[in-house]
Amino acid sequence: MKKRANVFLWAGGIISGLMLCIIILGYFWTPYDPTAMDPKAKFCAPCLSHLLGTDNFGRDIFSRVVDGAGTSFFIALCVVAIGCLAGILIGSLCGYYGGLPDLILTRVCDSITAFPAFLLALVIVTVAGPGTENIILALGILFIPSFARIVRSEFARCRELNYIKSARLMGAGGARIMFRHILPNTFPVLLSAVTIGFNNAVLSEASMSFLGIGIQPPYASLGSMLSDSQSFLHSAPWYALGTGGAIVLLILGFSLLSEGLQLKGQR
Amino acid sequence: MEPILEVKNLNAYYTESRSLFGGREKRRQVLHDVSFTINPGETLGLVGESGSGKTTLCRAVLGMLKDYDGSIIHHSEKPQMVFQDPFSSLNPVKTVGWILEEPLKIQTKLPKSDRKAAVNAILTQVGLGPEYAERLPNELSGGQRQRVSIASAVITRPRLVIADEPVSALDVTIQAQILHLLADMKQKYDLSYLFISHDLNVIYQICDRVLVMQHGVIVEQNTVEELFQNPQHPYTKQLLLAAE
Repeated sequence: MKKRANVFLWAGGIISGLMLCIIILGYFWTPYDPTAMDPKAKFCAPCLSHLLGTDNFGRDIFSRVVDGAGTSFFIALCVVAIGCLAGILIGSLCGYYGGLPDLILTRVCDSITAFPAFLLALVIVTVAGPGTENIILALGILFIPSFARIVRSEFARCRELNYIKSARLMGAGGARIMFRHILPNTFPVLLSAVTIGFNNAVLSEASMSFLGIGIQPPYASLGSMLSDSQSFLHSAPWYALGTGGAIVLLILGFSLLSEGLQLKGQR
Repeated sequence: MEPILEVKNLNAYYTESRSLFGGREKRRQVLHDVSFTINPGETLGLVGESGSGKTTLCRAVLGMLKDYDGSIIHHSEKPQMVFQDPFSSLNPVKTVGWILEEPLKIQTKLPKSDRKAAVNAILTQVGLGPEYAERLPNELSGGQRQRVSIASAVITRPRLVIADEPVSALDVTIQAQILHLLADMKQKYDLSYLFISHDLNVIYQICDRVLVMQHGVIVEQNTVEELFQNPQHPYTKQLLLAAE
């Protein structure tokens, strides 16, 4: 078979790479201060000095989008890191040792998944109060079951394979078998779970901020900006388009990347 | 001469549980009063149809069985194992070099350079060569994989190796090569084998003595020549007829 270029991988890589560059740049420098208001420049249409125009307070939308995307990216990264690491730990122990603890933890994970994730995040943030750390913690905990389940099933599958049996015969300990022999086998599945999880985390954070329980003003967040822009959809459509476009690009890039990586794995 | 392994009056049981919470459990006896010994340098064959208890006996010898009575006495360190299916016995994401180095890391305190040297030496001995250390298992053929399995079993110099149908998944020509390699390794490392097979032709080629198992009982036990020329038990006769 002729080897076709992996379009998904390329497109995803370019979009994600571009977004990543802008986000990283945004941590150090944005064209304007994202929170600086300018009463003289309310609702400027996109032009050279304001690439995506300005909002109702005269703040530069491009700077705010970059800043907001940076925040979303950071939160999603932390959420996926918490979910992934805790998920690996729980999933590997459950999958490898099985038994009653496995049964209990699996059921706990199932019941967390049975609730609408968003509702639980809402409850946690309402109790603990809004703020970046609380959002990360709430979403992080909610993301554990999805990773734990994937890792668990891979570990349960590998546990009885001959190469694990012979590792046991050699006298390898439980931790060594779990993390050095089995864990690398779960990386391909884990990779797609991480990219999908990342997208879900970006969306969840945006939705929470949209509802006003996420990042608090005046700090920029893609979700809260999208929520604000609703009122000006007719007078300043660039506000909603610029913000929404950033979310779409961020997620599209990673979705394509994960699709491309899966295709690459199949070849 | 002291035997390497003595199994005396071994009864083993298997418990089927119906649900995760126990429920009605059925304890079934799978080995009945099994006794045998393996002497140094001996290849002991174990024949019997599937379900006759060969694998359970194997697990018992490896110390993987919990529910048994009788005695299993090892007069050497832990036995190692060569499995039937060469495609599930090697970790697919690790290189051959890593796979062979791992037992040395676990069981010895050799420095890294010595471990690498030992890996290269064993790769040459099993007929592959040091350049195979960088390969992944899925880049190897079934026969090559089985060579790696044998290498990883003998690299820690055990006295006893259990080979569970080590050639039955291979082509006939490759079978002969692997049997030859097993015999070769036995010479070099002064090994004893417990060799499990359903193929009497293979047993005849490699074994010194044979155990015949049926329904968890050893029905006959004799040297290869005696067993093939003068089978006593009807089940052995039946097996011999089927093999011709």
